[in-house]
Amino acid sequence: MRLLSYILTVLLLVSCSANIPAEYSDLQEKVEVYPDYNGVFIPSNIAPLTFHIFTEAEDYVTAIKLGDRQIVVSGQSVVPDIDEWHELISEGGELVVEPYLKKGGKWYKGASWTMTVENSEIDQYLVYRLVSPGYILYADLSINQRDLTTWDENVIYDTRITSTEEKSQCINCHSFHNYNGGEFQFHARAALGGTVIVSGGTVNKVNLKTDSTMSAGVYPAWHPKDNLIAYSLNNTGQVFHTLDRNKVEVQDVASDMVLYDVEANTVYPVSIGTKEFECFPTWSPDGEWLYYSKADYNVAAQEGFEWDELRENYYKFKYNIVRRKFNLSDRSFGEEEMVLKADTMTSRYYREPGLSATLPRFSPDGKYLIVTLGSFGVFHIWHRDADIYQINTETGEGRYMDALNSSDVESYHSWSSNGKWMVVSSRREDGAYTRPYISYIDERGNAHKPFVLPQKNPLRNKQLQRSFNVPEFINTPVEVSPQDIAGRMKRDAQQAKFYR
Amino acid sequence: MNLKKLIHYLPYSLLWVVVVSMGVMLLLQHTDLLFRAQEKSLFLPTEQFFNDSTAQPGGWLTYASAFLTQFFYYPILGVVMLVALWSITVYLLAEGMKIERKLMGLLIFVPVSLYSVISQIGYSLFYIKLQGFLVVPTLALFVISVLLYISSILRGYWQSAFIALVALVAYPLMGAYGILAPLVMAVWSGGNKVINILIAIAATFVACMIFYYTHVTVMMSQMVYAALPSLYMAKGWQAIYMIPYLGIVIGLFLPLVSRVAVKDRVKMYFVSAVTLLSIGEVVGCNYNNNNFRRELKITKAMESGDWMRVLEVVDDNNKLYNPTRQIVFARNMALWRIGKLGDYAFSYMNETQKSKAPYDLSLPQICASQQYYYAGMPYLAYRWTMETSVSIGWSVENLKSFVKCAITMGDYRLALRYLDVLSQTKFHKDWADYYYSLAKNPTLIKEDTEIMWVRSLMRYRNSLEVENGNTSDNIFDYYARCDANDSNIQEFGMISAMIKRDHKLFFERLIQYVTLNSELVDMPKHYQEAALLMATLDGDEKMLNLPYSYEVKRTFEQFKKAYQSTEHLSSDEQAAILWQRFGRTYFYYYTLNRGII
Repeated sequence: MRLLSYILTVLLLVSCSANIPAEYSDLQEKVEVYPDYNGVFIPSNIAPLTFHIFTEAEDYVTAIKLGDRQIVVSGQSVVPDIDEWHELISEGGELVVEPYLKKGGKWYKGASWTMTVENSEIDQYLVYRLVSPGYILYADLSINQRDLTTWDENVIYDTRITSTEEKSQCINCHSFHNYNGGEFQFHARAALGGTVIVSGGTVNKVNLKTDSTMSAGVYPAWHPKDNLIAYSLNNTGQVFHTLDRNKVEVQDVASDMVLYDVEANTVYPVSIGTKEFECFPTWSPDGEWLYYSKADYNVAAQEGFEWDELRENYYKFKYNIVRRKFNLSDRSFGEEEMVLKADTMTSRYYREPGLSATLPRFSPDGKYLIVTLGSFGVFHIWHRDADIYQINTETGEGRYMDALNSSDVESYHSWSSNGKWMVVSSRREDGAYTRPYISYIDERGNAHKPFVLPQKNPLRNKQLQRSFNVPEFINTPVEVSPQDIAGRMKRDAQQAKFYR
Repeated sequence: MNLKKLIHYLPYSLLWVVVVSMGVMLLLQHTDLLFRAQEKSLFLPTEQFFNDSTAQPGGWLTYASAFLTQFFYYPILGVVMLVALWSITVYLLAEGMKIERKLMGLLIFVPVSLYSVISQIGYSLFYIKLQGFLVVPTLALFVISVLLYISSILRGYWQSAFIALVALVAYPLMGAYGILAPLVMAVWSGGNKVINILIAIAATFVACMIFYYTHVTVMMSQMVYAALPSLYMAKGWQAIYMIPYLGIVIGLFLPLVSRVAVKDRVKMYFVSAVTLLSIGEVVGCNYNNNNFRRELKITKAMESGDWMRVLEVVDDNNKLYNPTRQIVFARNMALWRIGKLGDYAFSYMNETQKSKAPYDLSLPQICASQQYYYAGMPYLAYRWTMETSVSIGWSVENLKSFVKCAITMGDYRLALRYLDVLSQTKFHKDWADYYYSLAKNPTLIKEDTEIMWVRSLMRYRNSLEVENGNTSDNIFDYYARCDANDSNIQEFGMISAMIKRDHKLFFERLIQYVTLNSELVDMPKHYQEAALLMATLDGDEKMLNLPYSYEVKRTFEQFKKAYQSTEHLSSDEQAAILWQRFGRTYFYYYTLNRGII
């Protein structure tokens, strides 16, 4: 038996070990790799950043060095051993990657590149919705939890467990309470619809649509200090461009804002029946202010407002960021205050003034408010000019986060719990499929070149015909099983009360 | 070979003749269907594709079937493969069931049903949500026959253990067929059959529960349907479509008759009855519709840019038939390409026929992406390609459509993304290579007449559309209102307004067309006919004074007289009489073709 294990160990070592060629020349051509990790900043606990070398060769060996340590990986797809990788990067420093390619029987060394390992960890889990980027029809959606320190991914909920193609279900807008995987919510629409709320170890399904509200809760924001969730209520429509690279326009026909008390199962009005369009609530870290996007579209103030008119004027919808003081003791809200008047800002892409700001999110220390800026509209994931914009809450100064932005869409964004990392939904690779890009944010609030979510199969981000939507960090895992959620999903929703 | 040996092998030989005949029938009747089914399937040798496939119950079966479906790129190759699998399956079933040679006809339901699963497809080709659906039942039955054969060799506890093992692992691999396999093995087992059946049921139940609690890709109530085709859009038709699948199950248990203690003569009568029933299945389940076949041929011709072939298929050796809207639309596209739209667009006796299917077809699922693309609307084509990919599944056909749309839209990064996927298929690398060259070097696009044609039509203003589900009507509306300064576009605009019988829009387009063609000597006859007819009906003196050709004016006068003289007849009788003389004029379409084409 010992002999057998010895033989197996030797075989394993022989089969896995790779050596840097003793003799080589410099390769003149550029080594084509995917993803591009050159110059990125990475957390000290991140899973191995795998990549694939596209440059044709007979054999491949890659050295990944940090200080006087290195790991050597063979193969066209460079997938370092996970333990060796963590050992290598645990203390931070500059990683140097050296590719060696064998061509015509000779070894060549390609140009090396570097990555900076920050002495800062990232939250262990990233939760996103995997969705085929369909327009109206949907199928096979899931909310997944990815362990960022490994390649492990598991399903929190998959629509296939409770629905069929005939009675299909859409899920969206997952949201967590203070990065806690034990407290979260998401919506299910169509078959078995309702808002699923996991809190205190129990799974509940509630119907937030009351006789006094236009819809169930849509975009959520969980209060940092209490079991309250602010929701925008949105009556949303979707239309298709016939000749525009944005392809799709998602518009609100009407929208309001409410506050939901999870324990009391009660909906409180915040802004109901107004002519304005409220959307994307978020709380200040101290829980004293509710921020949101709001559009004052003049036609909306008129009676007889028609969907066709809204559709024709889609580009005139400009959202600003506003806030209202919140009193936790009596759950009252103060007057609205303007935070970012985007509709008078000048675009860096167009001469015409007027922008639209959506998705406000605070850094955990409250120093920065991040929004997505586009030239118009509310649903920026379909707007190619959408970029991430940072407001310093102490100085009021704003700036585009250029290191984070690309020439294509950047839209949804979320902070890590330590405020050092930010994940952004980006369509920079092909303009259609959203991928999560993670960026280091330094002490001065500067973003650094982001890296795409690393995958065990480095080509997965190219091969997966689904988008990663609404990436959210959590630092404890979701432990409730999909089957438990499905079990509750199949029963009727508990009707929420409306506070009068 | 002596007579005894001949009699011994005769039943095998006859069954094999049946199997080969069905292969020949597939080739003769359904070649285009087989090719298209291959286009509507996808196999990728990637880890991602494997993981996505095998996450679902029966995923291994669909994965392997998708692999085999690729070979229908050459339908004869695919059919040879099917015939081989059917032949081996029948042989192994006969051996595994230990059926007397003379009663082998009892097995006929199996290959016949496997054939019928394919021959019945028809328009459900566009709705079946199951990768490799063409091959799934055949491959599943092949595996079941192998398992049955192995099981028949084993005895006693070994056989029971083998049945239990199969039951424990088969469901994740083969879905519904994984439930069927151990049951078949148990029913045909020697020894204690009841115990084996109970083992099969219990072990299958355990396997299903393990799958349910370790995977999240199937509802508990849907588990027994895994790896069967889902026809969710074809409401109410699922049951009819399932008849050959039922035939497969019956075919696996029917030979139990051979073990019933009755006289051989009775058994032979039974074999005869089964044979007759199987003939009934072949005939009854065969979807045989000429318009459907024409549509398949037309699509193939359009995709290869062979517009003359489109006209040839539509013409169908001058046969008089009632086409579907898809056929008429394709013909108009082809006529437009060759510059004959204004002379030949109207030649239909009746309004177009609905596609023959036992349920209401959703046409956008069938043809929206193609129609929008060739009508110069690649953004809407892209949208519908995405919708069908999401709802029905990814396919070679959709990937090609994505690529063409993306390149036409000038979105080269997106095109490269899909080309990266397509280039991994077995038979579509050359196609991908060509479009790679365009996406990587867009200056080459100007040499591609197909893309340049579509781009030349993209001269409309952007607008936001809400799809109402009727693609060709949307396109007609669009062109009838399109005021682009392009003669080509105005031609289709006129035809669109004429199809809609919209006077105002027709004259708007006509004026624009004439302005753009100030030196035009002979205006195509349909435009003259429409102008003369509509101006007469409107009493529009200005339009009545246009320089109509003598021939058009004469035909119009003759038509008026003929129309008035037949007004006492029913509309159908009147149409039938006037069709002979005026069927290829706009006058006939406007007044006697009751619908729109």
